[in-house]
Amino acid sequence: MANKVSLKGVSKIYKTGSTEFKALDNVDLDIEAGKFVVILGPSGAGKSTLLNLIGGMDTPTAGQVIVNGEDITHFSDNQLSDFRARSIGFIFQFYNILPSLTVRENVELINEIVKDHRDAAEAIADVGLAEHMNKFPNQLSGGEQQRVSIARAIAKNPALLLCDEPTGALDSTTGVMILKILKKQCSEERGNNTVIVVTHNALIADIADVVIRVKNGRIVKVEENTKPLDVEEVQW
Amino acid sequence: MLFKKTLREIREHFGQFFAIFAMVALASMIYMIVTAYSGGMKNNCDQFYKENNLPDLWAYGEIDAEILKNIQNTPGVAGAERILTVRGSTKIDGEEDEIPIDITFTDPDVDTLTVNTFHVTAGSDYDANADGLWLSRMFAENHNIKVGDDFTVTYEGYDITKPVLGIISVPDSVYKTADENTIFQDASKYGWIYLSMNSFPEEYIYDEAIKTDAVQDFLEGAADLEDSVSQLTETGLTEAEAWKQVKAAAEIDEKTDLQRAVQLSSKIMDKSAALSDKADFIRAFDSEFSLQDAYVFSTCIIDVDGLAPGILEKGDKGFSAKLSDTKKAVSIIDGVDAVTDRESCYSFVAYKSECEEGDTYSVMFTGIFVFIAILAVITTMNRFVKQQRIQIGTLKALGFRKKRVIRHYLSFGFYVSIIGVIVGDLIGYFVLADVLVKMEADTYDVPGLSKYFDYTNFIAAAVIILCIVIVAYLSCSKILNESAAQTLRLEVPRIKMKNRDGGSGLTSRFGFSTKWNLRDIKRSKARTAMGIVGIMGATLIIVLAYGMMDSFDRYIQWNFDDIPHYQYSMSLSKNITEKELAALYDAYGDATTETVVITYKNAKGELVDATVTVNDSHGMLRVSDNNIQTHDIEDGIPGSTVGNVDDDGAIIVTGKLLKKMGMKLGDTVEWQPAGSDAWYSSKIAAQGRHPQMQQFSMTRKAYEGLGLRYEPDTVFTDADLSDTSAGDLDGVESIASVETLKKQLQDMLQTFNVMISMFIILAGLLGLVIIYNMGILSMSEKTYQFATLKVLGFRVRRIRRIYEIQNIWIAVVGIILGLPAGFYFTDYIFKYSIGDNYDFFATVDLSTYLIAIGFMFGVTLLTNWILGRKIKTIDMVTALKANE
Repeated sequence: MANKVSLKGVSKIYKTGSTEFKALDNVDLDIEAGKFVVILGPSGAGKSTLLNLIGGMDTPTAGQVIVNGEDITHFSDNQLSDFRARSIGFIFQFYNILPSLTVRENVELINEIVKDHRDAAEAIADVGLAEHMNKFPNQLSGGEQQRVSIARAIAKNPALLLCDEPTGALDSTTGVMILKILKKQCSEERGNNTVIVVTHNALIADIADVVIRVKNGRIVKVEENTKPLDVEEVQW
Repeated sequence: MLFKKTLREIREHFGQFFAIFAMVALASMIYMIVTAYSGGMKNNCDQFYKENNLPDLWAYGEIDAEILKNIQNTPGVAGAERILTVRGSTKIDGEEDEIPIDITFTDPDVDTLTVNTFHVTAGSDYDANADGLWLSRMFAENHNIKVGDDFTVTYEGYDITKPVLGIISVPDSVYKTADENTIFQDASKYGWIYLSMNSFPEEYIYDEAIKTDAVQDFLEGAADLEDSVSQLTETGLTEAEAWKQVKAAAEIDEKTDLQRAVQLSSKIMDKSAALSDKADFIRAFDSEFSLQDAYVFSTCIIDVDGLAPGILEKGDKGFSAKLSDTKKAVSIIDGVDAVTDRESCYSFVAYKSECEEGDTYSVMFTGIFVFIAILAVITTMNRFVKQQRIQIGTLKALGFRKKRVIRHYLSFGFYVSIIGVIVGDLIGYFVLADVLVKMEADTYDVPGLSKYFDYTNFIAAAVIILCIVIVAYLSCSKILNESAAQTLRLEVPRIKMKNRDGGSGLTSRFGFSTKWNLRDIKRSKARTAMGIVGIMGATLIIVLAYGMMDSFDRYIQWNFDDIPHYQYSMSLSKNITEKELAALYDAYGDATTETVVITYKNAKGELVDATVTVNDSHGMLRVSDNNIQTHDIEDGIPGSTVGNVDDDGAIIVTGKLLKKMGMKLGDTVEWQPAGSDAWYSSKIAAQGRHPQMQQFSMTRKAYEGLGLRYEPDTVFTDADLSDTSAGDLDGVESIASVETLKKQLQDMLQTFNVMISMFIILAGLLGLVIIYNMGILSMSEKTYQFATLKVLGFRVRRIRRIYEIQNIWIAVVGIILGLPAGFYFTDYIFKYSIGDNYDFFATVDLSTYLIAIGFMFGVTLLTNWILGRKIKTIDMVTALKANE
């Protein structure tokens, strides 16, 4: 299967005054399409930086980032915006949904920037929120808000779903529900989307197709999981 | 340690804190300036009035020695002196026109003046026997005239040349203008002098004596008398015998030196008589003639026992009752035509209203700037504490007590405002107050006019600081009162929207940008309201600044173009003869008016002094209706006339006076002309308006219908009198050009440009500070939402549009509210902060509104552009992490 994501010699250095911090150090990485990938590592290891570079939210200091066949390394701001709009679905730990828009409106927001989008109601139904369509975020629980965030992400039909600690703020039952939804996005039924989850919860690794371990800005191990567990099978 | 933190953070956020500092400094500075100069004006003038004894009453009539004695003996009168004030003119080298000069002759029998005494700046004090004159300080300074210089004034064609003995100020001439049409005192165009009646031009008196019927009859028969004497001498009589017989036959007074009188009569008749000939002739004709007996004093200035209320001083208790009793007692003395008090003294009233205007301005403008400072504080502190959230939480977590943390954050407002107040007050008192006092000293003749420190500045400073600190507290109390844990969590806007709004509310029908902005406004009501109020305030200031100019332009048009339909007015001499008047009519037309001083009874029955303009100008001096349209008085005032203005006694009253009288259209007012015992009843037939004189008017027909004799004192003409001076025309005391008066006023108003520039800068500053602060606040609240939009793939330009549209809406609402607010504020200033005599109103041109709209939109777009650029630099990663 073709690579969905390809990083070649990627480094990311943050500068604060005269101090430099190397968040990623000469990283090479290939991720195949249709995989559920988990990036594991301790705090400060560089996993979120890796995710941000793949998602076009940040640019590398050195190296090359190719996503979905596009070399986004030297994209301008507008090109990156368009790239994110058409190819990337983001899911964050704290949802980042717009509080002044209803569930439906948050998802319909995608209609403003993506032509080939899914029907918002369908995406909402997929995450089990059909009954809450007209509610505002403050009327929903944390898990429900995260599901809105997922609905918004999948409504784009993204090639790549990037999730940064998607269950970090949720209880285990809700976390399981979210992971099930995410895992489902890799299925044929959903078009073999690639899902990359950044987490420091090692248990999530059991359900992944690929587990990438990051430490001190370097990829220390890439493991293929030949027999990933179902979400239900994991002992949370 | 926290103090260090405060100082460093103020330095770090210098822009915002400087804005608060600037507004506080401006507010306290304006209060300081106005109180310093206005307080100085009041105190110095009160002192001047007290020390130099401003008269309490003015009695008019032919005040001879007996009347004077009666006045002096009236209970309540502490002192009374006679004067005669006439209008003369002088020619100053380099000046094109003659300059009007009021000449006041003092009683030569009074050695030391006790009422309206001289404040001598240079030269000697008053001396009745000294041969010279005392000149107005402002006029002398304007024309560089020094003590010892000879100064010539011309009265009715008679020159008086005397050395200047002293440069003086007198309390009843603090503010004097050349005539009623001139608004501002201008010492380059008008002056006054004092001198003893001994200096009155003798020739004038002899000429007046010669003009009497008895002398004229004698002169006409003088040749016959001489012939008779010749015939008698031919019969052999001695010349002396012949003169004796002729005198007896003609029944001429025994004491008359007939021979000498007849000898000089030919010179008198052929106008070749010198002053000595005229003197000899009159003395020969009337052996008892004395110059002193011919002196006429038209005014008696009276000091009532006790201290009268000044501008600040309240005066003695019971003084007003005593003043009223004395006024009544003096008015019934035989020979006294009218008595007026300080409220009819133009100088006193004009100066007092200037001081009152100062009080209004100080409160009003200080209020505006404190209000602006408060807005700046609210927005800045709100924004500042939001930025400081983690630090506040950290301080609390470290164990700093809530009170200590609150005190620390209040200290920002406190230090900035205390420095602002100190700097504002210092600049206000030591720099700008002097500038204003100097301007006032150039306008008002108050000796030693200097600034004054008003203790209320301490109160104002305390109130300003307190306001800022309270507002600072209210702005940040929410965060400061949270628990440490709560505060340490970065704020995510707590947005509580109702289901109804999202499901089927009005906003659900709009596009994303509109919907999002409307809901953002809904949940940020306070911020939105502050933005609207701030922009409204800035718009108001621009409309006020330009509106004042528009209103002055309209006033000038009304006063100088609409009301006078003539080019020149000629003030007639009191002694104008029928022949001279007829000659003037022939040359310049018979459009005339007479100003009659009257006393009327108001609705409460109180006696009030006023004037009636009897208008026979054939439409040249027009009357205004309520809409400032002008009409020939003969036509009445459309819409405000009851009956016929030509009916006997029908009177027209200006609106403000009518209100002051407590009467209404159709009522009857009783009035008495000065110098008359008779009271007349007049129906108020019409109501008009006048920009600077609240008075009565009548048609000549209505006036004469009461049996009163019309004696014009002003002639109006369209003829070109630019090369004619009063001295060229017999019977004319002064000539005023409407165009010149208009130009003088326009020149004076140029100083307003400075004020307007200041207002515009302030409006710009206010607009920028408020819109910028609001924008920053709004931006910081939405940063994570914008970051989310960026992550989703929204382009920066699109997000900028979403962000900017809200600011534009707020600006539109602020401007829409600011335009009428600006109009009403201007109107308030014009209507209520100027003297009772004036009837001003705001006129704001369309161009002013367009300028205000353009300027505010410019500021909005500029701030949008500055802040919109920040969207590009929002770091999605940081912004969204911060949200976690």
